[in-house]
Amino acid sequence: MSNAIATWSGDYYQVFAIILFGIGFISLLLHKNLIKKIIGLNIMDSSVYLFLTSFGYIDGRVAPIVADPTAPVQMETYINPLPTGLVLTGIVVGVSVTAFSLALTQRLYKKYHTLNLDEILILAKREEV
Amino acid sequence: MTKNIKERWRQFAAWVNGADSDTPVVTPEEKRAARPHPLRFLHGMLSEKNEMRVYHIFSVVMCLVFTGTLLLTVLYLPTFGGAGNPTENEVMERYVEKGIEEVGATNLISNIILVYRGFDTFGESCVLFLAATCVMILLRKDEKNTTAYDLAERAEDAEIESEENTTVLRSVVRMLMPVILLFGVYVLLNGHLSPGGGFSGGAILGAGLILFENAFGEKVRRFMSEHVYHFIKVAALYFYGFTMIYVFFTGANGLHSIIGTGIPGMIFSAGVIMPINVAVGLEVACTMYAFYAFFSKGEL
Amino acid sequence: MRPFYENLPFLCIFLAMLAGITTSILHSGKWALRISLTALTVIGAASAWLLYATASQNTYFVYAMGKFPSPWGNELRAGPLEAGLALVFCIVMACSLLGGLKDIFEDILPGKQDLYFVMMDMLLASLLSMLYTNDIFTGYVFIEINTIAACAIVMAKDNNQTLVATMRYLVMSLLGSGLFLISLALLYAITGHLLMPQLGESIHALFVSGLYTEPLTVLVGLMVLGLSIKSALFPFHSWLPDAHGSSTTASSAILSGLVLKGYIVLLIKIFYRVFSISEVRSLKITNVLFVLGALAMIMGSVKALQEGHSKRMVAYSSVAQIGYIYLGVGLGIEAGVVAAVFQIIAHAFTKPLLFVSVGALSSTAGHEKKWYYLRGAGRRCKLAGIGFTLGGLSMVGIPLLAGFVTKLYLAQGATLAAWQTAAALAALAVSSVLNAMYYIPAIVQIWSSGSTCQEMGIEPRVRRADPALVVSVLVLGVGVILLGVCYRPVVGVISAGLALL
Repeated sequence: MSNAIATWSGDYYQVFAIILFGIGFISLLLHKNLIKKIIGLNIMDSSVYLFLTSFGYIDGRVAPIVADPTAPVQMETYINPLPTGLVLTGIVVGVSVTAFSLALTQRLYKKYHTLNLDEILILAKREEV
Repeated sequence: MTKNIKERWRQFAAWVNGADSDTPVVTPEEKRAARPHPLRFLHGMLSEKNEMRVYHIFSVVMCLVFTGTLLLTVLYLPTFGGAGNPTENEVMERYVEKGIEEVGATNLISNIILVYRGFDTFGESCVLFLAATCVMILLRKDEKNTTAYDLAERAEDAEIESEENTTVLRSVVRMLMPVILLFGVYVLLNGHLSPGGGFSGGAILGAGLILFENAFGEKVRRFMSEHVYHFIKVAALYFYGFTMIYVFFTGANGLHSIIGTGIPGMIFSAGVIMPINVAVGLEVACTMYAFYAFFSKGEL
Repeated sequence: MRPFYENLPFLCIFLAMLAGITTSILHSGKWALRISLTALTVIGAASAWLLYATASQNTYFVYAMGKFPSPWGNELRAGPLEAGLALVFCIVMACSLLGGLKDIFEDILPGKQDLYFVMMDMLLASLLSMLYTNDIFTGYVFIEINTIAACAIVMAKDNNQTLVATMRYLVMSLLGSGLFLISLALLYAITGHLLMPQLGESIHALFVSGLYTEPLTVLVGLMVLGLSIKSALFPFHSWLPDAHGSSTTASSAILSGLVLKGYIVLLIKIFYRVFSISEVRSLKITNVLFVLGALAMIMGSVKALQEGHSKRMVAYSSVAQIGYIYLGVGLGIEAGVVAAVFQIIAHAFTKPLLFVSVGALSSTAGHEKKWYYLRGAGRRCKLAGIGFTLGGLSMVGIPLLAGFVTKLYLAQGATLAAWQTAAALAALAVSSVLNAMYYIPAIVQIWSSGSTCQEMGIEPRVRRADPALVVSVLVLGVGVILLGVCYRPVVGVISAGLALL
């Protein structure tokens, strides 16, 4: 157990990312309010991006932007640029789906005058019959 | 006193939860019948309160299982920040050591996202394009989503705007606008030399545009009509798409490409990266502004 | 300079994307449809060429997107399997669009019809990319495109039910892609690669050395969980009936026929190229898929049996049919996967045929979708009636139709499986009986004389089949029969393609 705690404190970045994931997931499940659900989803997304970036970090190295392009570039100077690039892609995807879901929420609110998903589902079912 | 605060808090919570006074009545029985699937079989066996409790416990357990599994997985993963992890391999080596020579940008990340893994990033700008289109389908004014209430609200907004009592906002925006635009353009054009690039620069420009619209609504709307929006978006995506086709086609077939790397560190270097950054930046700025416009008014 | 046909996958994907971008400024549904159909025809022809080129030489090729080969740059990979599936996807998508054409132009507001076709083109591009990709992160990006486009074609009808259904679909899908991204991050952390060939080598080395077994198990679990939420495997299917049952005809057909399959094909590709089928088996994940698949086959049919709404019934039947695919994958042997891929193709033809027919049938009864009001609908629109009968019988598993061949190959595969034989055969038998229990009454209902929709105050009317509907039902119906009669070449291409993966 003490071993595990030592590893977790070393990997604090990833541990916090996962706790954040748990927070997002639980708010997605427990909240009835659509906006809060979307916020939960967004927190979940962000936590995954944090988790992914953490694999690019290497202690004591700098961001992969070369200051002096004339000198030969050493791999040992810079962190791994690939996860950063992947996360950039991920963030844009996150923004897009958030915009989409918020637009849907706006429409649903205009129709039903409530943001509670349970109530929306019931009202929709009532219309169907 | 405490009761008053509690009551106020409840009202505030109800307001945050979107509960209006004209909320349609949904009976608890109906709510119960619509409970999520896994608990349907409990219906009738438990009281309302206990059923809710079971659902909460179920959710919490599921969340804990997920989080716990992932936390345990972290124990077995390579150490955070350690040198010599599996990710520090020949892939990273080439990106870092050969990046400037092969592609030409000193910002190694823009080498990766725009050239080495350019297809992903083109897909990503298509995601943004799709999201803007979806928002347009959902929120553009039409007979299905416009009620008399909306029209009244918009008329009220227009009236407030026409009264021109936004002096403070306007003077601040007059001062800030050049700086924001300059910063946005700088980030956009220097994407291959410093942190930044199309997406971040575009987001700054888009934010500036939204601010400008708030202060000088009519002027921006006259300029950013739906035609202009479509034109900029499609022109940017076309430019990006055809550049990518050229790059991929010549690269994959081993043909000679006219795109060079230039002198690393100069503003006109790194081949296609700067033009693509500009195109992406314009698309992102337009899309951000379009999101804002559709959400607030339902039209550009 | 490589042979020209090797450029085709890349050109097809970009053609679909550029068609989508062009369509967004047309402001005309008719022209948007023409562009979409042209793009589909061109891409279909290119895929046929590619299929011929790769299948005749029994070879595959890898196409670097740019100067940089794997493990540095994005790559596509095409072989007989990918090209064949691309051809099927194009045919089915074109037929679904044609079959649901009338409904599209009735259900969607004129100002937004062009945007519907933007979504279609992008959906096609994402499906093709998911088929051809050799890079797992490209897979993720196009999964997201697929999610957004699929949700958009559900909500295009823009009434209350579709908006609610889209919300549920979107939340579930995003959960699924989130889980997929976590598994991808873990995969990257323990291997340092994103391209499938290098991933395969690293994973194989990890299996031999026994390193990182725990993260490997977790990541395979998360990946399968994410993709099975998105492809509506049994316990995660709750979003499907609403989304597929309430949207416009063409959307339902494409969602059931193609979108669900895209994720499964990606999963099979990952199973084969990143892991190998024996490594997946040793992680016990196939056993889970087998059990869930068998449950889906039965529970989906039971749910469909209780449903009085025609489109929702057909949608629940999709849950059962997805179960067949996962059952095949879950057998954990080559023969099972061959049966699964055959089921992907068979279902891609059958389910759109059913949805298109139901759409046309309900239009004879004032768009009323309850079975009760569809009495005699087949007599008023004979073509759609024949289409529905053919599709329904294929689902039940009548010989000489596509569904029968699936069941045959699944049963054959089951006899070779390690422990699943009895369970698989039992599930197949029970599910066939259940299928018959809801498809046969439905067929009887539509061919009975008289009509019941006057009770709703709707006058039954005869629908003359328009040319688009004729083409659609004809092509899909002939597809179902051809797959049932001359299935050997198809199975040959599938097994050759899988052997090359």
